[in-house]
Amino acid sequence: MFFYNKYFTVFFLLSAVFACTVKNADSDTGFLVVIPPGFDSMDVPADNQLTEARITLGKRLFFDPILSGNYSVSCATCHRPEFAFADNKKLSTGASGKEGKANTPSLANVGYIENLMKEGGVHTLEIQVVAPVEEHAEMNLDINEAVERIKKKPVYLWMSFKAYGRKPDHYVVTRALSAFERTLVSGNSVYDRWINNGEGVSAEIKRGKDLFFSDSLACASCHSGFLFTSQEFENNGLYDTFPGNGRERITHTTEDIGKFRVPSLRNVDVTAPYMHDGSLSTLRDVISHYASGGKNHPNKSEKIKGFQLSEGDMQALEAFLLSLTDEDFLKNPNFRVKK
Amino acid sequence: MKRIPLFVILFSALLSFWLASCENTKAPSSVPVPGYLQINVTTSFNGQPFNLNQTYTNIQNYRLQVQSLAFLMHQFFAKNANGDVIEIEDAMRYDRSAGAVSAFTFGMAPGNYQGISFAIGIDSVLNHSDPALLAADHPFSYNISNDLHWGWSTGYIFLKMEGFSDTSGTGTGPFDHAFLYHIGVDELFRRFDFYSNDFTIKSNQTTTLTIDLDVAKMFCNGVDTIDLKTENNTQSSGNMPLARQFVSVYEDAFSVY
Repeated sequence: MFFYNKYFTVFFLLSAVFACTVKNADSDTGFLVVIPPGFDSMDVPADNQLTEARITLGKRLFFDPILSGNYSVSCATCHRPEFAFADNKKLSTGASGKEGKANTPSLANVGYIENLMKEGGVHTLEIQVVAPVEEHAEMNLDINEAVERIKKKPVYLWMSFKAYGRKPDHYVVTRALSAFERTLVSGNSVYDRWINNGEGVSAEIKRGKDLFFSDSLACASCHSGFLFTSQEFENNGLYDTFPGNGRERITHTTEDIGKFRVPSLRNVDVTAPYMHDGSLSTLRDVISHYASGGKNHPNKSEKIKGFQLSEGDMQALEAFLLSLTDEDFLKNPNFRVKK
Repeated sequence: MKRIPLFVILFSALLSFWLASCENTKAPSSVPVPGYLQINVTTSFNGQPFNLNQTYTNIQNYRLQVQSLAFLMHQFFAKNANGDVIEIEDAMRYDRSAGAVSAFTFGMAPGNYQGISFAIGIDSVLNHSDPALLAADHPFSYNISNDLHWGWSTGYIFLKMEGFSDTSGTGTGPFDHAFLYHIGVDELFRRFDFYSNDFTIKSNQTTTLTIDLDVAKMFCNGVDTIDLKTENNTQSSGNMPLARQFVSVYEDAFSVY
């Protein structure tokens, strides 16, 4: 009887401690995913269906610098909620002090992206999330070391069992981060509310929309669909000679040199600077680039032919692009951690 | 005459039948007792033992020191006397830094075999699958082969060799030319068939075969030469011509005995 009482008491106390810990962690989340009107349903792997426990664990990992070599940066250091999970730098500096090789992409709606990374060489979030952890110019930590660190934290041990029924390992870490990232759905911009709910917008935005979808500008030939991206790989004529080979690194065909995945334009106003290397500072710079027709790279997309815009039309197009900002997404408390 | 009850007769008959059945199941099996095939994977340099960071001289009279050499082997097959191809093991990793010999033992049916085959690299299905789905002790899991997995592009480095060379040709110059060969991507997957290297498996006995990679032949196969002065860096993507050339040369560098 004494044996029973002693161990029951220990178990009870441990349970109480862990229950408090998890409650604190969970209190930041308490949500799953709401698919906005006009969006497709999201494909989620059968072994990583979204649950609150998985999302909560992934969110905690996402904001935890434990995943960087010197504990100085987390995923959220470069993927900042207020910038639609991009950042506002041309190139970000990683844990090792090295500058990254590409402009940080937005993670808004990343659960819909079919070919991840700018070259499109990774096909699932579960595999992709390892790349920035290990990249020397980003988080600079061997994934095995990351797992060992996580295993040693009781709160992660508990959350891992709760989410996946097992101790933290590569499977748990990659699945949990992916689960959280799939919740980053953004589809409630001024534009969305206008199209879906009939909310009023300015004449300038309406004019900008007409320009965007016009044959003469042909923006929507690449920035199409509910994500405003075709998800194809295009050479946009940014350079005569591209310093990086882009899609060619995957396909090994010279026709793909300088091609990168067309980015979504949702929240584009807050994701400056632009282009795969962050070389254009403003939306006006970007529009001017396409108006110019770009450089004469042999792989330049045939869709980029150049166009002329009056100052008024330029402002209208900018206004339309600004209408793609989803303020609720940027300020969503579910995507932040309490300090 | 005393009559024997019917149920006793039936019970006796059933018992006899059951005992006879048991006896049948206990009859000596015709399945032969298996033997074992041990495969030793080794590396050499012109037939001599190969060590990391030791100075060797290649056919161009360049001195070289290899700092790391590792490769992934997939789909080991054996061909029996009837010509049937049998898979004997799925995955292995050889890493010279872990030791000169990596040994693997498989249980096999006794008999004569025409030889074995294996691949350097991983077939396209497994190459693009998620390493986190593999068991922790699988040779291609993150736990064991994370250093041979590319994060930015799903897929493994099939073979990695890195080091430095002295390309002065004088034998006294500095080791100031780095070389780095990271061979991956599906098209560089290669099978190596050694079906003329016959062997015999005997019950309860171990037969040993050695797969050797001659590092000297990785730079020259008698027809083509990898020039360490100019052809010294490929991560496959970014320099596929050299990766293809390097693979075509090392296709002749493996032997089985």
